[in-house]
Amino acid sequence: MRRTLFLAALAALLTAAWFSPPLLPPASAQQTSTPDQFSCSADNIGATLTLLSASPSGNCTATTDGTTRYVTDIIAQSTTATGGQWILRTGTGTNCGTGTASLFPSAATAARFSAAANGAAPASISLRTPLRLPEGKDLCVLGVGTNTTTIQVLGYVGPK
Amino acid sequence: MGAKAQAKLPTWTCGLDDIFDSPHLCRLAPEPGQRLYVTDIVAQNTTVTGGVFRLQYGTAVALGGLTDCGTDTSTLFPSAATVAARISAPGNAARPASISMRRPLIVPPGKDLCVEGDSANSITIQLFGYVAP
Repeated sequence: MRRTLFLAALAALLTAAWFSPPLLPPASAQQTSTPDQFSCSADNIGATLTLLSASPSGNCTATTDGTTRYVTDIIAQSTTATGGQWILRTGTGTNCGTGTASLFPSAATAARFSAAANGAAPASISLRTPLRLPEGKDLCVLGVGTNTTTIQVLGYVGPK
Repeated sequence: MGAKAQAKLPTWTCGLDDIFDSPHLCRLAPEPGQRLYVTDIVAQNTTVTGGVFRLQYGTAVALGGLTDCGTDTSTLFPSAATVAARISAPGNAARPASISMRRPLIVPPGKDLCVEGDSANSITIQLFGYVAP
């Protein structure tokens, strides 16, 4: 009897969950508080380390007030019919030229991750554990010479 | 995840079929004080040859019905691609482009959401998201 009641309750719960409106991930400042979120991009990037620009204006430079950037999503595409490669790096000064270090992949200094050819699905990377930029560092991207990359980086600003 | 932590925000989806390289309206701006948040994009070319697309925002122009973001048009994704569409909508024999973002793309308040497709090979696209302040 007890087991029957338990199974009935479980069935009712599952049915309610199935028909309930779609739920979004837990609410947090990053979900609906737009000042905490950032969206940075670079277009047609070759073998030159380039500072990402922020949307709708500005650049993806270091944040202040004891915060830093956390990267959650990266989408990359080659601008040509042949795939290219890219790497995210950080630094200061013009186009991260001072104190340059690799963010992703962190162990490489050359462009390593694929930006798919523009006839193939883009590289789309969503991270459950975000990439944390070192405090005081700008965000840049390095591509390759022939098959340049367009990239979009999304994330939020949080405590360092 | 606790009930208090969950957010039930109004969701939306919009689709466009067989579009080429001019901005096509997908979703009108919500009521004042609210914005469109884009969380997912799925795109496919209508032919075996891949094409490209980009998301744009602006103000739809009433030319026989609202059809585009003809006024004050800017690129949402990829935001630096002000010159041309860049993201692939693969040929229809390959798997579709499927982009799901943990941090959404945010359309500025009062702006409509559009898609610009490819000049040669039309695309089909579906966008998903929610409305929030």
